[in-house]
Amino acid sequence: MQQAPLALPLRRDAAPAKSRGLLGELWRHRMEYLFISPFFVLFAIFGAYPLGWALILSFSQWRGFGPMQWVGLDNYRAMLKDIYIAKALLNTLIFTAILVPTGVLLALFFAVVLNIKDLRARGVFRTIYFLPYITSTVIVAIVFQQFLDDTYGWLNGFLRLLGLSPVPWLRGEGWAKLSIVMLAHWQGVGYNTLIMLGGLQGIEPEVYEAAKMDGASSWQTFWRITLPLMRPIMLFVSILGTIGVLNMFAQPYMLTKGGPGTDTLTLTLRLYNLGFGQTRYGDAAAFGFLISFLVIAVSFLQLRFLRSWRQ
Amino acid sequence: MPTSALKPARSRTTGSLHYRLRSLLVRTLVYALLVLFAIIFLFPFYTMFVGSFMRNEQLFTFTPNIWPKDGFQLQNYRDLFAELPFGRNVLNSLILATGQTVGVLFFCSLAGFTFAKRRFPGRDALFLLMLSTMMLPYQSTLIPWFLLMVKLHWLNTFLPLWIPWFAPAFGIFLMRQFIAASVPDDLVEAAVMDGASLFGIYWRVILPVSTPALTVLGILNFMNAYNDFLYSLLVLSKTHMYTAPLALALFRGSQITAPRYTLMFAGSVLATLPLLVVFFLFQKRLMEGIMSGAIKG
Repeated sequence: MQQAPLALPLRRDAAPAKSRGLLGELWRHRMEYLFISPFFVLFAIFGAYPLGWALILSFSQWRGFGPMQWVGLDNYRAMLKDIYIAKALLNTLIFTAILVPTGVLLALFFAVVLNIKDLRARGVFRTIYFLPYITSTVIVAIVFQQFLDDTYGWLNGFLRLLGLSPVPWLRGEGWAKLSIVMLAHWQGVGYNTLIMLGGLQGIEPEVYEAAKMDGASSWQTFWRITLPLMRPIMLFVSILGTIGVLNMFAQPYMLTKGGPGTDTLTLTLRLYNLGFGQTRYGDAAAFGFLISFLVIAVSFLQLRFLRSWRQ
Repeated sequence: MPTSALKPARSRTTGSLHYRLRSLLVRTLVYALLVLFAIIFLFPFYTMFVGSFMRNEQLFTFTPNIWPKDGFQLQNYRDLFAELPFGRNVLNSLILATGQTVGVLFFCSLAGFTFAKRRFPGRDALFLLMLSTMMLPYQSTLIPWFLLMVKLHWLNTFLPLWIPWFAPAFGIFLMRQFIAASVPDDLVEAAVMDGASLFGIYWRVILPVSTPALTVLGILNFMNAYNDFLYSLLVLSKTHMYTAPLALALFRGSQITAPRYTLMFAGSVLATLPLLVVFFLFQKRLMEGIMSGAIKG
């Protein structure tokens, strides 16, 4: 988290408090505490309390009725042997390896192009590229499902037109993964482009002026100046992308139901199936902690990297 | 893309014909690429729109139809409304998103103002504590969160999708940063001198000048809530309480039933329209907000 300077105190308490002690101090600021209390109250009820509950659940076996049975570390042990979880982890790794680098490159490319100063209608392009981001993933998946249909879909129709053989986009192993990747890019690239654009516009114009004076070509300028300065933003986008993959649920739920087989099973989809499909609350709670651990680990790596880059 | 619409390349000191030609070529290529991608981004919206007027026999042809051959027939929409209270479902999405957003705007700006402009014991520690909760992934509490909703008898109401989300740490952070940077202390101090209550200052001084941040936070929250899927899926199970995405997911088909595109396309058009209107009303401010790095995550 960026450390912004905290605001200056409102008033330097003109009349020094008559040694009222801490309780008096607290009472004097009761309105302030009241105003910030909603977050803490809501977090206690809907965040901290479920968190404690999850911890207990993760050491128990419970199907939603009857007494909870304490099983110690059994759920965690079972988790390590669960082939679905192993497959979901592998899929997450593959998705991350494909989605993140290509996503960063695509967004950087669009941002650089849309940042050309005298480019006409760049606002229009920016808006068009951003539109999928505001559309419900459910709806995006519906349209893609028809678009990628084996026999009647647009994409295979197009392939046939080119004389190529059609592809089982949603039913072929590997291909289904590619379909999810296409969907995720189509929906998310506009948002990442905006973040990158923000980064590009934050680069001081003087830097480019100086490079021009030194006779650098625009290609050199890109490699020597733009790219290094954009590294933190590119990293930020890739971390967002990684966490996005760890959270991926609606895309496979709608488009492939995790299939064919387990080809597009994601961590959160497995969590949903475990908890709400099979009501194995204990196993699901333990698995929820595993996913959380991964998300937190990725976030910490982000902080480490960003710090080492900014020095 | 007609090249005549392009600005002629600005001649540099060299200004040779060769340079200008090359520049024009690059420019044309760039535009061609941009237009190609614009088509890629818009085409699915287009197929959804025209598809919503096509019957099955037109949707399922070996070469896909790019235009509804029998004209813009509303039969799919009629079928949809015959099978589902879809007007109610879209309304539910709107109620869910509006209710949540109103709460978020109120509680986030109130707390953001207090953190930004007031001094009280433990302020910075509480602020850090709040920020640190943002690290907690939702998967860790998903199961008990649902069980809690069962316990509270909140299933099939909007309460689980409103109340827990009313004071997000991220929103408070956003509002605090904005108010700290853009509301002068003098303004607040003058109001204190006039004997205004703390809430009076918030209501009459802070809120009016915070509209830029409120707009960005509000529209982003509205969009996320309107499109929410996972949490709605957990707590809403009655058709008349379904939001639009849940209702549409009903028709996606299963191992034994085929997906019903006619209904899904019609519903998708209806569900997308309100959000598009909201988006275009606030488009500029939202996109600038994202670019300025106000929104991370």
